[in-house]
Amino acid sequence: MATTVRWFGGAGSPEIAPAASGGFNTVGFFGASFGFSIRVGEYNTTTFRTNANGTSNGSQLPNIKFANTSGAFVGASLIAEELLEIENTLSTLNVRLNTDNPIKTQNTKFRAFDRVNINNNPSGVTINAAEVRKDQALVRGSGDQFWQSIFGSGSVLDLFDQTTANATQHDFYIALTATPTSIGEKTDIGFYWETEFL
Amino acid sequence: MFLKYQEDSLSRDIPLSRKVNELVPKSRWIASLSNGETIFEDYRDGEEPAWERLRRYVKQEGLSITNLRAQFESGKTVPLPAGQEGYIQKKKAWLTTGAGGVMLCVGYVQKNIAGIHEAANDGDSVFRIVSDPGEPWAIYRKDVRDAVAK
Repeated sequence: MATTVRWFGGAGSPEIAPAASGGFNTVGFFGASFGFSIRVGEYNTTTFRTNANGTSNGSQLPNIKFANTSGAFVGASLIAEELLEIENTLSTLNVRLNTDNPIKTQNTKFRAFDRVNINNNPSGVTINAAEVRKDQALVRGSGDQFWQSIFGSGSVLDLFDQTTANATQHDFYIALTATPTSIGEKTDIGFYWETEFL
Repeated sequence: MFLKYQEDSLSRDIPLSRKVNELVPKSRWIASLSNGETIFEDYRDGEEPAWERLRRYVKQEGLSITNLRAQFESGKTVPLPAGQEGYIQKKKAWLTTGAGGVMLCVGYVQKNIAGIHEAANDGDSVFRIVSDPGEPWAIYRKDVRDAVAK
């Protein structure tokens, strides 16, 4: 059985590569553009696919910036949108599970951690996350209404079960926004996703 | 291929593999049933997962799983204790910065507690004690199912 799990930066963006490839295997949050820092207490203005230490630009990803507990600035927009109005294609991450045979998924979870142990908190940064579920422009989404601060095992984002029908491809869309809690480059941040199926 | 497996499939309505064939993956779960049958995990086009088919079969025939084990291409086996109140099977897919994979998880239920082995492709496993995850992951023994139904 060939089961693959990959993640992309938003729908249609390039794949975020496995670390073993030595390629663009990381999501990087930046200020005004690639390499620009984010001030303490502020949120990302741009998001890029980058290498492990954030020094190489591997193409821009959709940016979602925290606006308030239930809203975000999407892309370059200066007007905040409700999280429920963000479309899948504009999400920060698209996690894609492919299986040979049709399945349903349950108990799907998403974590931020320190790249050492999935139970540890990310270091020096606050990560807010929300599941995006809006595949039609004119229909209000059914994902998360509010941001959730996620950190290690202390706060994990639960993603919706995909049990309506068995399918060989399951896509999960996640909005992410980050704010540093201190001055300096932050690299001890990783993301972990898991799901269960029969 | 259809003719080859019709004895396996049509004689009992619910298609299941009772021996290793081309539909059975090299790493798989193997269930022993109270009627003496052995069922191997398989993948069939257009069919629901084998664990779901097995659940329907044991309910339809009034059977129980008497034991379950996972067997891996590496030759390793993850055995479970026999005669438990229920048995659990699931796959866990995971992805993190830089790596990902799928684990075959097998376990058992006893008094609302589940012991689950999460095994990587090479058969190396981690054992966890958790609360009973219930259906669809667990298939309960017939007397346990009957007691719940009353």
